[in-house]
Amino acid sequence: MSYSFHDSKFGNIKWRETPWDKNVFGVQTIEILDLNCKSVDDGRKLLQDFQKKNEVALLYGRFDATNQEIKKIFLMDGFFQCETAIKLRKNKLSLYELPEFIRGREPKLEQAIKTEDIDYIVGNSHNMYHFSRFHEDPFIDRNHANKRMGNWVRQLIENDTPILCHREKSGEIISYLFYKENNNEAELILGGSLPGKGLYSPYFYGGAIQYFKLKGLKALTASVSAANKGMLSLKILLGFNVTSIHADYHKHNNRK
Amino acid sequence: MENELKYKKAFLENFGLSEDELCEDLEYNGITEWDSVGHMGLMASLEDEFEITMEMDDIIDFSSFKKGKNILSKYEIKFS
Repeated sequence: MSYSFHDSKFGNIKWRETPWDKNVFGVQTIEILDLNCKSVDDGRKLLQDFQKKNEVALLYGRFDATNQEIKKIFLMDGFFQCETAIKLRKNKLSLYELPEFIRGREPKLEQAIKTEDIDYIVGNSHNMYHFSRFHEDPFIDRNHANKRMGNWVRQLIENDTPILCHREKSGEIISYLFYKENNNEAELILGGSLPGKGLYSPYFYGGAIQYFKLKGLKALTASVSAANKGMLSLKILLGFNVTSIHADYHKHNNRK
Repeated sequence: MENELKYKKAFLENFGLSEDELCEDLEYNGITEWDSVGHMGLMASLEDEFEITMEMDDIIDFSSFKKGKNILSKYEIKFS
């Protein structure tokens, strides 16, 4: 993953091209990762300066929702606020006890998928997600947002991202969860239950937490859209706490 | 009759519904309160109320107010 820096007398911007998004949306896309400046005026000039040098159709960036200066810089430049992402954390995993109703009902989890599962998972992922920075952008149609999610799932599989999954008796995967481990913590990247199988989610996620606990991990982190009431309630029920809230700012040039 | 009341009470209390709002056609995801988390609460209440332990397949199949009654009949819970 390559990052670039745009420096000017007004400050600097850390950014990257996002070819995985360009491939889906068919337009040039850029993600702004950080913006440093001394004042809102400097920030606005910095952002304008940056856009003159990088003419793209879609720009986006995710920042702490409490940062009023960043919010002002983006909104005054024509960005709008899109997804609100809630960052969650579950500490002290070794002491964790599952809610009573889930205990003993956790499914048997597998830690790998088979080659023949790949198309099934990717195919279902196209209509499995309803909340994401792109699903919640009213100027991006649902088909593109769905395709973007499908590509992401395929990319996670191709990169051998660790996965937990639960199979139905018929052998088909019902629920899955991609994660990555670092410093004795797991970041829950992307997961869920397939369409029509949502009732399995509490048991699946309960089982996943139990798996990480038994593996000896200390903590779990996750990010959930504030609009995703079901997943947010579930993670909180399973003992996650909110640590921070991030706002996604988007700008479409040539918006229709 | 008593079982019918217990059954309805579990729905009313878990989903915060009034008697008027509870209809026989109620289904999973038919109201915002009956999502996967709400379902878990409903199942826990029914298990407590009827002093039963439901099998996982039955918990997953319990997708509507009507279907739930059929499932509970497996546990010898009779509805008039």
